[in-house]
Amino acid sequence: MTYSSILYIFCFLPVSLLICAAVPERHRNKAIFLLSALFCASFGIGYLCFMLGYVLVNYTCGRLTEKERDRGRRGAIPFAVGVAADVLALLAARSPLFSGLREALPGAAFPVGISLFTLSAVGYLVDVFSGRLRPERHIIRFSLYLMMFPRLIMGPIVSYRRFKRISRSRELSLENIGQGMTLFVLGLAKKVLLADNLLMLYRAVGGVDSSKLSVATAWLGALSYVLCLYFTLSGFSDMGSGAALCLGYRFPPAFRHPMFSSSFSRFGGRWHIQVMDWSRRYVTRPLSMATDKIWLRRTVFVAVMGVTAYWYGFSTGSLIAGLLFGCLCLAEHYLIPKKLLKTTGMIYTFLGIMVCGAFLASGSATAGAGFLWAMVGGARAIADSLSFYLLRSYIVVLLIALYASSDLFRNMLSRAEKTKLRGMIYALKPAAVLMLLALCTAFIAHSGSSGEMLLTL
Amino acid sequence: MKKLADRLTGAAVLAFMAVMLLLTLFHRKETYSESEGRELAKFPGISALQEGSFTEGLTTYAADHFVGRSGWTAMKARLDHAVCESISEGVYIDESRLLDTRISQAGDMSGAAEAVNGFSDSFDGAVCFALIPTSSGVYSDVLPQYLMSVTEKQQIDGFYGLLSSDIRKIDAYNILKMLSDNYIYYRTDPRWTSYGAYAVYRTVIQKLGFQPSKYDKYTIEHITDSFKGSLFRRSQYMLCKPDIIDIYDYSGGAEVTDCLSIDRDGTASPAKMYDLSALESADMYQVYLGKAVPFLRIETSVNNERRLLVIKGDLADCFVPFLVQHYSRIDVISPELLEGALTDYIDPNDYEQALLIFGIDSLDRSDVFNKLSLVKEN
Repeated sequence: MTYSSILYIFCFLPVSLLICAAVPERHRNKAIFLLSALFCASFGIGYLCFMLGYVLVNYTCGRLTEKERDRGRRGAIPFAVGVAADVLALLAARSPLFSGLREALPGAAFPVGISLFTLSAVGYLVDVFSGRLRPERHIIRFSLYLMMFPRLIMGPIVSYRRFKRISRSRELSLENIGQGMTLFVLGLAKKVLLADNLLMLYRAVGGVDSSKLSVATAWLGALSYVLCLYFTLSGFSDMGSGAALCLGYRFPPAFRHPMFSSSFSRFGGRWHIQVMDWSRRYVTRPLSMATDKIWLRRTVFVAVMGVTAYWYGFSTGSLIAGLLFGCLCLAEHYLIPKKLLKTTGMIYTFLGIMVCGAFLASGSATAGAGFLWAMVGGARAIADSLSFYLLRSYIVVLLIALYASSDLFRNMLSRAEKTKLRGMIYALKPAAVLMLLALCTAFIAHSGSSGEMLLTL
Repeated sequence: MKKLADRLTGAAVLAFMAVMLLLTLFHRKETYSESEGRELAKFPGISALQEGSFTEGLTTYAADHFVGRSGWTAMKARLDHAVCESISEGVYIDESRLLDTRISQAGDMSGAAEAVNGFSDSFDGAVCFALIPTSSGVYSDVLPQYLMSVTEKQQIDGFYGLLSSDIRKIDAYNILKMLSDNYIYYRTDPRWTSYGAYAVYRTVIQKLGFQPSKYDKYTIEHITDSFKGSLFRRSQYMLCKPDIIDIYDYSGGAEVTDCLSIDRDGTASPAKMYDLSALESADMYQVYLGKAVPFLRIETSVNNERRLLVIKGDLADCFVPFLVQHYSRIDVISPELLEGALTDYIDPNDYEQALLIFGIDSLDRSDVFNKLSLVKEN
């Protein structure tokens, strides 16, 4: 059961809220745990068992690390075992190296969300090992950190310390439900109305052999891919944070309108913030500390960017996209003058992101290069009938998507809230959210869900 | 005031969800959808729990019984057509007609070709083969190009190339393409109309050695103008006009004297060329030849002792009535529904001619064609 399905929106979510509201505060963790277990079981009993085992392994490793330390040792063994188990599980689920293993277990479903909760779990173990954090004693509370249902699929990842702070201040109120539902419906709209249609556009371009693509079609393909990726990821994390906010958990946003950033480094700071933070905190910084040679530090930066992007796609294409982005950041740092017109920055950042997107989309180095060749005019046609057809069909969706990915609407709202229009905006808000929800419902009613994904994280 | 707005939003969304949930739970559950013409999903049972398909079953069940389902789908189709690429649930929405975009794209045709060749080798009489394109093939210029990596014309030519030279092949594609300004295909269904079938019949019957009946000899009766085909049912796009179903009556010609169908379970029952009671059901197309059965024997008042074996896909149902004027007996086989061997139903030596008529969408179903084998398995 994915977030964007009839079953989740009209049954699981409201019923869960009702149950959580009915249960007294001291039992609420247990209730959320049981609901999360049910949510996991909806992907298959095997998945539930996997999740419970996963939680248990990380919990035990965290506790053992502390016990070892109490006895005066560093506790490296339980720490290493825990991290190795987590990383192995991730590789077994996603890496092409283990495709044989996955085929040998046909009954086992893909462990949904494994890429994200692996980051959470590894971060937790590192924090415990380095002594920044005392391990959680309460297993239910700890299990919520990894398998709470609004976070499970693509919910925001935060450090355990922050998660505890968020949990402590949680409050189940109608006000939070209102804000949470608004966020949830916005996320749903991002996925169902924008990402799904952009995926159709991308598929239309992707179905054509890249040596026959005209320049305009290739650019449409890259644009639709990047936007679709953005709206899928941010849609799911919004739906996750929204549902969590309904339960009272206030998670930070995962994206801050990255598409129109004025530089590559700003893009890096706004794109999937917690994932980028995670790689900076647990990989780049410790590695950079080990050396004081500036060129080594830069190399580490680029390599980590590559690995982070590899984590998205598990393909050579995504590795190249990440390395390329790292190099672009460095080039910007050294070559571009600090004082630059904002628009110029936006344009070159946007173009650079498209190029990275072409590699990410293609999956392999040669296909990515082929696609890039088409984007610069390898097929010698600027536009053909296909590009006109696609442009005519998707222009509305593309314009809405571009507008929605910028921060224009949010700025307009916050500016209007300071004026006399405030009352009207507040009055219209419930109706607008309801209408958006109805619109999304229309788009998923026929098939029951919109689970088609660009990436399975 | 912001708090109030938030609370109102929360209450409104929760109320909407609760209303939809309660309506879905408590409205009367249909087992059959009239507007979509198909059985709706049943609540997944215990066995699904063991197989691990429980959630999928539940998702389908929830979608199938979701309150206002066809209304929601219709809304999506309208929106898709208005602001996006006009493809909704795999149906391309054109101003004048709906076209299927989920057509099989040049799957493996060799299995089907081999089976047909095998049939032709072991059949003593003449074999005639007609491969009928879908509306997406004939009106492919309406569809966006990228959907058609291989055109149906190319697929038909490719398939005919695989057939042995003894088989007479009917170029139905060009016949229909030339008439594409006429009402040869339904607007809301991928299949041809009676008029499309008549156009192809003229050529087929000449190849079989007869003069075709003249068009003006027929009295044509529009029995309904509210036929909603499978493409409509999938997309629920309301703005496309429903279709007309025609019956061609040859006044003063030969008549059907006896018509017998044998069902899948072997029971024989009388059948009709045109079953008007089907107009009451969701799939009005069953007007032609009635309910789909594996075997149908039609005896006519034609006095020439000629017998024809017709092996067909479901789109040929409206084609068979045209043959009545030429043969004293016509045996119609639908291999899709056939249980057991072909020879359990017929003796191939009874016929001097066989007509095979299939839609292009059945080409990749070699399991259907493999049933054509006349060699007895011992």
